[in-house]
Amino acid sequence: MQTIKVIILAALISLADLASTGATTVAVFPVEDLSYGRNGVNLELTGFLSGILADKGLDVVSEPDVISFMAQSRVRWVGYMYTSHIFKARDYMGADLILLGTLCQRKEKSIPRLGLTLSLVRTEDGVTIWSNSKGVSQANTRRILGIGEPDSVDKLIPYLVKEVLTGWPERLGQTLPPEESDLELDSWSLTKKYTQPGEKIGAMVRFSLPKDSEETPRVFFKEGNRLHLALESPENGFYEATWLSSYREGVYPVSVLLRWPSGDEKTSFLEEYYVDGRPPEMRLNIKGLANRENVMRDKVLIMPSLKQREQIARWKISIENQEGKTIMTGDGKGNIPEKFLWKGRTSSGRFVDEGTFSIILKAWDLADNESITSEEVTISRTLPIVELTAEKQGQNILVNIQHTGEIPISFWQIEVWSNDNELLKQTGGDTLPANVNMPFPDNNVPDNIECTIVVRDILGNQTKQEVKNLFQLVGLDQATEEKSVEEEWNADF
Amino acid sequence: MERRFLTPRYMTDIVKQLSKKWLKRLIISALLILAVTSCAMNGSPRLIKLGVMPKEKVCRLAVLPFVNETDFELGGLIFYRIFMSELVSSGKYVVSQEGDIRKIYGQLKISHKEAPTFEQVRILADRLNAQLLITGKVVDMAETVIEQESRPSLSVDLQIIQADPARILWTTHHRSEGERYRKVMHYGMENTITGLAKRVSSEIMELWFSEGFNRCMD
Repeated sequence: MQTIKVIILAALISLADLASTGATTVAVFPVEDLSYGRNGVNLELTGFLSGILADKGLDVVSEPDVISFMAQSRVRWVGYMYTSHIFKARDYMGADLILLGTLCQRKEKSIPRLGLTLSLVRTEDGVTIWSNSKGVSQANTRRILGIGEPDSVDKLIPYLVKEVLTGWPERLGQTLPPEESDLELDSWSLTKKYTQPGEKIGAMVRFSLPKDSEETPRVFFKEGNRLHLALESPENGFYEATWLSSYREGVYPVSVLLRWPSGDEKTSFLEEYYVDGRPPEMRLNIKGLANRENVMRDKVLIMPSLKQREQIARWKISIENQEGKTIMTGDGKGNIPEKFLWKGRTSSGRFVDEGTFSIILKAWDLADNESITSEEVTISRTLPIVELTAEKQGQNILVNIQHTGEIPISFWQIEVWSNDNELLKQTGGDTLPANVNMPFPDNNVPDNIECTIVVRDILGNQTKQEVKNLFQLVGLDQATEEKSVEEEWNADF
Repeated sequence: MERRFLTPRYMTDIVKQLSKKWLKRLIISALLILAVTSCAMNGSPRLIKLGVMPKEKVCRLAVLPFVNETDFELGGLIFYRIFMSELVSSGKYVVSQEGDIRKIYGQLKISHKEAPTFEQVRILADRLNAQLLITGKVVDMAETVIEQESRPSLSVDLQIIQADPARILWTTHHRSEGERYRKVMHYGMENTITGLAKRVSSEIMELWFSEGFNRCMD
């Protein structure tokens, strides 16, 4: 029975609309012109549309009145409106309908073309009841021999408007019942989006009460089944409340709940917050140009990684010496960089002495859970220790090269030269000890032979040793004993 | 029995044996197949269903601003306005006012260059009292003029999103060109990006309706 009544009422309203078409008032808002960018306006087209609607027998609100309403209501844009402004337009200008338009495109070059969208909004309930869009170009208006063809966008406008207004509604249609929730939130915020379990969290909200609201409701923040009473701040009109977050990790949606003395309630979802009590789990991988149990000569590549992907709020890296003194620090906001390079220097730029250092990385997630991880690295700049011996074996000289240092070698190389700069032997390898065999010089050989050996360890430390007379090393020339050893540390590797 | 292999010489012999008439027919058939398949690729929108539509009638819809991934200035906004217009003119839904959506976008600090997160979608749906939301992006929008004819092309991706729990229900891709609608000479062809956007919107909606997108006011 109730349904039949509603249908009859709707039919009567429709008939009344049909009968009163002439008395309908339309406010034509300035047409947005996107060819001038986001804030473009086309008042000529607006006026043209107003004229056509007036010719249709509609009451059209004058352009100055519309502009005045926009200024008064602080409507600073065109092409769309807030529902609250639509209702205001009804109260202030007596408009039954609002016409909003957008000139989507306007091209004059090559071939004139235009595109227009119009929307008609009913002010009683803020519903868009009709809309149409159309695009036209000169090609759409071609005539035989081109006589009377519009050759500019200005001449296309009447054609376009006529096309778009096809299907203009002859009646306003049935007004929809007002929406249940007309609680309009102006602003809201939570003090924290991410929090640790049991931490204090606050929320604030400011809203406009429904028009028909006579009594002041009590305001609560609702989080699951928990309600937190909010009190109005006399300073800014916000309703505020604080509470302790849950001890269980998870996502907690927060809504605002208005409860009137009559028992009526309105709820509106605000946002979620996350309870996170677990610090991020991190790992540090130390890599260098050569790596052996985190022993480096100078450059240390530090590669942090998270066991589980998680957003990091801030981080801090520091390097401490064996005495626990911090010699280098760095920090940043946001996620941890993929890698750090420590060049074996202090914050002041000085090379550190040999020794063991701790690399400490701290990171805090969005809930401020702190995580610490550290790794040790040893800086070693000791040169490779080389021992060279030689002995005569039949018609050969056997040179023996030994390495007694702790750091493995990367390579070695030996060269034997005659005193008239003739290369007698050149060889090398990547492991020590090693033997080098060379034929014993015959009668034609010079008085002495010279030998140079270079040994480099995996860290880049390099030793160069020169023996001025290999015969002396063999023990055949006691008189000309002369041994020169040059050791150097090569900075370039 | 003579053995034959597909050697180049054997193939040349076969071609020689075919009359010119048959060759012509073969070429035309190949071109037709190519034209038909390319039309199919460039024609109907493609719909992927990732979830089930709610059983109850959907009355309130909110179309969230489309992201513009093209160089076409304000391409996202142009398609957004036209799509909204087509949705309203379908007469089947109450569509949320763009102003209300932009107001909440401002409150949530959502840039028009990005799509909202699921949490923001939930907030938007709650404020707008919308059962479903439509988001999307314009992937390609262009308008080239060739021989005194404007030839627009458009490619869009749209999603229908359920607010609570927030999840994508349907996703649709559609690509079309103004040339596709040509009938005879210049007749039928869409010469403007506006006209093409209207066609694309309407084709997407037709597909949605035929696939069971609930209409409130049927």
